[in-house]
Amino acid sequence: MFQYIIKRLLQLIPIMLGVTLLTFGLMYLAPGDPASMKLSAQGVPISQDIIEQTRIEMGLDNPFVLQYLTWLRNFLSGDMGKSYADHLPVAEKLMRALPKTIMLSISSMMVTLLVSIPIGILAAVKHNKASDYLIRCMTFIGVAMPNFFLSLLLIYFFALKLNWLPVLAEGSLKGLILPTVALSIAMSSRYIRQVRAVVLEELNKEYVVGARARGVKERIILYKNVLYNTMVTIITLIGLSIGSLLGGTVIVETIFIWPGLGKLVMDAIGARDYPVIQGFVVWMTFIYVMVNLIVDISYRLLDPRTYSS
Amino acid sequence: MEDLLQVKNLSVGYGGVDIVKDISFTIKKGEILGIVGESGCGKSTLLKAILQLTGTDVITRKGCILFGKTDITSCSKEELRQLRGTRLGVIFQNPGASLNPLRKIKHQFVEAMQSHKKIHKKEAYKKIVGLLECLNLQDGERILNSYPFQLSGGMNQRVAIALAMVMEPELILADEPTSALDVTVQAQVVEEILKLRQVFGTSIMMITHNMGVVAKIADKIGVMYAGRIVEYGEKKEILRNPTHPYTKTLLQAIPKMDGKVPKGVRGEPLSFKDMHRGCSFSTRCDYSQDTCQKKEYSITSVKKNHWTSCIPLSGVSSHESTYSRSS
Ligand SMILES: Nc1ncnc2c1ncn2[C@@H]1O[C@H](COP(=O)(O)OP(=O)(O)OP(=O)(O)O)[C@@H](O)[C@H]1O
Ligand SMILES: [Mg+2]
Repeated sequence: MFQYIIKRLLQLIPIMLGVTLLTFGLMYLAPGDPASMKLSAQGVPISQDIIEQTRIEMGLDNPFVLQYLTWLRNFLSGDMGKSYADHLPVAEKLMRALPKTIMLSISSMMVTLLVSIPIGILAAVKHNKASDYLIRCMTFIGVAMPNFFLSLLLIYFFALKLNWLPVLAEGSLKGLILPTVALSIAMSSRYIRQVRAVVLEELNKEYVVGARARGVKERIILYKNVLYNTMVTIITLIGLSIGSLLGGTVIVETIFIWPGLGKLVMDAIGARDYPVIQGFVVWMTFIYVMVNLIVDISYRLLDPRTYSS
Repeated sequence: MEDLLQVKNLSVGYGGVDIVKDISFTIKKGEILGIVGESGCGKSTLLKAILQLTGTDVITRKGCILFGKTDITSCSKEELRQLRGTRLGVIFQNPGASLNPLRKIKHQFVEAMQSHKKIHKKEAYKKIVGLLECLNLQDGERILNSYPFQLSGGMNQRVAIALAMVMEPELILADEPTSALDVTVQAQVVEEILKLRQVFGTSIMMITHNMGVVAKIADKIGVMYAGRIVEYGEKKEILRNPTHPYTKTLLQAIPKMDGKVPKGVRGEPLSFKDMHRGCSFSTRCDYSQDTCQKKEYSITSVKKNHWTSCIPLSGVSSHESTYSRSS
């Protein structure tokens, strides 16, 4: 197991190198000269002199590989460059947005799991009965409703009409509620369908018939056998969602003005603030590979067949 | 001896199709009944009906199943659950599949026991190791700490037998318990099942398509064809004096040591979906007569404890030569 983890971690090195190289190349692939982009992002009037001076400042007269290596060294020591827009270090900007995104990710993931696992199981157990149809109908609406529309509805009712919650979240705990609800409704709807499907599939396995034939209590079959065996699939789902949540949820964060990564990167894209975009892309890659690793490790812990063979 | 299981005029099906039709038989205490018949004749369906398992799509249409004094067909779900495991045990064809692949075997034993009575894990554990020893599984500790995939097929089947026996049920229903195993292991498993009766006095209903296995262990034999029992009787009677042509072909199909390829049954069984009149075997029968196409299913007694559904042959089994094939 330990060896496996080490092996997987070593495999991450080339992936991360590749991604950083691509990210760095982004500035060169993008139309326009980085120096003039920087200047125009700062709103400085451009003259040939200033551009030349900036190019030398930025080390743009060096060969590409050298530039990349310098950039990588700085990056690894925590210096991700400065934002074109406000001169703040990118690392600091990311670090400020990250806790907000983590907060929103955790809260919406928790709500989603708390809602969808019991309801998904209920729908599977009541397969093709009235409650199953009702649940399926609701989740259908939940899946079909676009996130921005749902967010606007929530704001309209709970903030404007009922005045229970602030319209703009701005990072406060109370402001966390509406974006969490907006995210959880869509996610839960998807999760309920998935949980229902996997539990149903598992309930049709032969060992369930076997356990029933032994008179094992239905409760034990469901919670100690079926649910455990479906965990492998459910964890994969959670992994995928966590990955995209930690990248910030652009639409919801933007609508609720939640100062997380999604909003940060949205603003950076709008301002062509390349250093911030670079930092964000590298962060996303890191999150995805880590989540993948954790999911794979938990497979091995959950399914004895994978590690002993 | 007391009757333990009485099945009376049982008809069972799936959806709109009837599979098992009008079956009656009894199993007495300590008796072993063998049910033989080719693949698809409804043996497993019969077993599922006796268990009244939910989630198997089996619908009981008619008849009753008396187990002791309780009618299984009118039990509540909870009553059925309590019955299964404590008084009725099952062994399935594919031993690995009836065990949860991701759960250690000991947990599966303990949950089966604790579903039926309050028992401490340690105590349960001791009992299980004893039971495994009784079934010639010496390294019980190791087995209990394994997952099903870590054991061989034969080992898993013996574990499944032990699992069916933990509450010492009065009746074991075994659905082709040996057909997924290789020949040497088959013999051992048959021995083990026989031992259950010696040690615990368990009655057994053994379903199989292997006449050889039935000839070895059964006291009585029921021959099943297309959802009906076509011949029933004491084992010796059936083996020595078969009257139904289908029984005869099955007996001829036992591989012998003389190297000849056993004779099969020609043709295909009729589909369950189509309605047809008369004896359902008549399309494949070498002795078929006009009356066979018209008669309703009925049974004729050949001797005490031996009956058949075949009219042309029931009374004339002693004149077998008249009908024997020219070969
Ligand atoms: N769940 C089901 N739904 C509909 N039809 C079924 C179902 N299970 C079995 N059948 C049909 O019922 C008939 C009898 O099946 P059954 O499994 O009882 O046969 P069997 O005698 O046990 O055969 P085998 O020796 O192959 O196990 C078959 O024609 C089969 O197609
Ligand atoms: Mg079968």
